Amino acid sequence: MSDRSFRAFVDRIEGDKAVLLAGDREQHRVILPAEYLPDGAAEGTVLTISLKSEPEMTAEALAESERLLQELKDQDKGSS
Amino acid sequence: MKRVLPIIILAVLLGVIISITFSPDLKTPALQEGQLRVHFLNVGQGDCALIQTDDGRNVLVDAGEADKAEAVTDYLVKSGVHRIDLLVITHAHSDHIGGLPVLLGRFGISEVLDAGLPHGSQAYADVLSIIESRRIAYRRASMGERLGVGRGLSLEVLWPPSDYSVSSEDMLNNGSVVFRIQFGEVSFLFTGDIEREAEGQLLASGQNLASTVLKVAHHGSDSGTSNEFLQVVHPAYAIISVGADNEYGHPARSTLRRLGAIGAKVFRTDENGTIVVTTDGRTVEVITAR
Repeated sequence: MSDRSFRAFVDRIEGDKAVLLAGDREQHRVILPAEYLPDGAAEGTVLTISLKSEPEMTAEALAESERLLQELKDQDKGSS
Repeated sequence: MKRVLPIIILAVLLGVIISITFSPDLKTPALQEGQLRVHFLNVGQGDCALIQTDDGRNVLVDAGEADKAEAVTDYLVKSGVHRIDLLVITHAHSDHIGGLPVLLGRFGISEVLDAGLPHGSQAYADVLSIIESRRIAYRRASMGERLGVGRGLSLEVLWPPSDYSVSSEDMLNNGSVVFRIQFGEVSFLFTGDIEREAEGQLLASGQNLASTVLKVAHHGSDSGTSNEFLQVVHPAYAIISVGADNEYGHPARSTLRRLGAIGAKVFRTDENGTIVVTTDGRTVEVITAR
């Protein structure tokens, strides 16, 4: 699957949060911690947000979940 | 069935007689001669207010987010609005102008008063393009200016100064259009989203800020509504336009404490729904949806 990127406009900073308007018509409101903004970005900055799949990290997260579930199942077996 | 819970508080506060009524269906009696009515619409996290005069003039102040445009349109129609005589755009953030492109397509607008500060959002570009293509009279707000609407309404523009510019990209809030209406003994102060910096400059300007009703700045954020500002405005009523459980923690507890300390009766759109204030220039009646 190819990576995706889209346009986002920093409409305002509300305290420690950045309010972004994303999409071609800025129709999607996205609220992020302001510290996630790149250096130099501020109210009024146009950004590109890139989304990239991380198969390795995905596999790791799934493996961790399976490990935790297995632990619980083993405990359950032990208590019965 | 008209179900009005007549919890009436009659008091004499600063010479103004006050009555408060809760009306779930928000039925407001027809405006009588000599009255002025201000609606603070419940648009969630955003601002939208409608000012109506007894000679049928309508002033709209901001329009809330884009997803509230239909609800605002319905409310305006229900309130007898066919034309907007003056549209005030306090500033270009989406929670104030998001609904404007739709509203501009639905209502005739005679004149626009805008902070006139550049902001690169699509919504603001759309608003400016529509104003230009429809040749709507456009006026940049200028401190000290007075705008007449109809036979009895006058808006005093208190902020920003005509040479105000955005010094850094996060100054749009402090460039909000601030204006005051004096109607007999009763006055209203609209503050957009100004913060302490603009409040300080307003105080330093020496203009008359004292007002019966204060539209609290920036949804009750702690960034404004300072003690010093409240001491001068000294509102009997404070209206906070704010969304329930919003992501920003508005209104701040500290702001509510300051408003309480000054003795202002606080109304909030997240708790009271739409708030309608009617005055004959001496008495004030507040009707809330809940």
